Amino acid sequence: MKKVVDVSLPVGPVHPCFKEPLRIKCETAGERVLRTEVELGYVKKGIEKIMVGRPWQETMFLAERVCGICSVVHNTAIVGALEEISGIEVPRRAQLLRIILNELDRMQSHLLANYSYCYTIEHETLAMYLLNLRETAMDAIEKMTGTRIMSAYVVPGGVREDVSDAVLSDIISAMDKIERELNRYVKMFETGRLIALRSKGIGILSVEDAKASGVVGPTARASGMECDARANDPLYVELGWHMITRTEGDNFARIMLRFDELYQSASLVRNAVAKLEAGPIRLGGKVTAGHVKHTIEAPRGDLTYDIAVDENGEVISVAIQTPSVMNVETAAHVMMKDLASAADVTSVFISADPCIACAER
Amino acid sequence: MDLVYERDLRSMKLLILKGTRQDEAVLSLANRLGLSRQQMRKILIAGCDMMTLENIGPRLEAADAAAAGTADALSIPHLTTALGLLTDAEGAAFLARVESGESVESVKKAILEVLA
Repeated sequence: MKKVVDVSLPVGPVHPCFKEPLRIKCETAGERVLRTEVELGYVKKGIEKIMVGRPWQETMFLAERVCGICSVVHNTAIVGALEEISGIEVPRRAQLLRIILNELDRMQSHLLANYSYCYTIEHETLAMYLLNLRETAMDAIEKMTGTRIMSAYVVPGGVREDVSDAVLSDIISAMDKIERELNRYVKMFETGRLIALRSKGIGILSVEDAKASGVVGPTARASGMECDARANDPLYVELGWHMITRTEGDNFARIMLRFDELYQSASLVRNAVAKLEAGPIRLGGKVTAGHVKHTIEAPRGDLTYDIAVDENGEVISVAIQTPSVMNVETAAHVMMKDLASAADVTSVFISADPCIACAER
Repeated sequence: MDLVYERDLRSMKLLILKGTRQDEAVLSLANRLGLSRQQMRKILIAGCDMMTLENIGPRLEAADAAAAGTADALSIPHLTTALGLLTDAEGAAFLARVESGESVESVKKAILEVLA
């Protein structure tokens, strides 16, 4: 009798293409992947539990340590939640500085994601170009905040420090450089015949499956789903933000969508710098008791902090729903299901921009 | 086949289900099916992998939005598309039993027997 499952193929927990440990167990029949299971627990931090009972001044720093790649957005999300609970006002200059920093963070995250994908499909030249370009975004973040990651720049009521005109001018120069070099790299990706063979029509996620699995961010938008928390922010709309979507839903679409969003982020940074006017960067306020679900758009999609604090500002309960939870699950169970070749498992997984640190918060 | 490097993941799966958002989702599904929290946890730990348990909240929310009529009463979208505890064919067979005149309660009982 013919066997249904030939091999249970483990991918990971330690794999050259994975930045972080995670194990995918693939059940295969010949080359075809029938279904997959995911094993977590290699880097569980327990940050949600550590936060409980601690004052907001400590949890603000803990939140940044959920993820080293998008630490800025975790900082912005928890501070935004505390501001929403307490009704703390943020001055316009600080709001614009937050947008500049968050878009720089999105740029370095998207460049890292696309680097990882190119590395996974063995296009190391383009991968290294993209990783090198990421340093331009990282340098801009460092000039603005003083550190590359975990800067704790966003604080309740505003931002920690103002940014000088010289630094703003450097940031604009960095945007010029990124856009100029990106034109060449996007063309390389779009016209690469071997890239197309590994990317087009691989790991397709339909819009129906995207809705059923709750997938978010660029992974959802590449399947034609319109979801982006920035749509609810009037300041983003004022700066010219608009929804970017594609309809193919394959690896190629996910990477190209991130390239398109890089151009948009550069444009948002320029517009935000142009609209900066002199004014305060931080107003006063007191964190009060309350409970809120606060969602913002992280580089990988919707990031929600469901947090309750008491009248002393101590955390009673917190649940962090990171976009990688939805995206990793969808990549493993929907995109990889019935994949024609087991060789595409890693590229499909990486195309969803998985962050295990976020999933194992 | 027992593989020597396979680990017992039940305790780690239970830790995931004890998370605030996951616990809310488990409780809502348990209430739908008329089960206790512990019974529901046991079924989920046996039938789902760790990543599905992490993502149980958004998946059940999507199923809530998609469910209607008899399928909603039997929680078919929750058990098939959302969690994969039943196959699509099994879900359709349970729906057909209600359409052929069997009561929702008795079909629900049959679903719980399959899940157990």
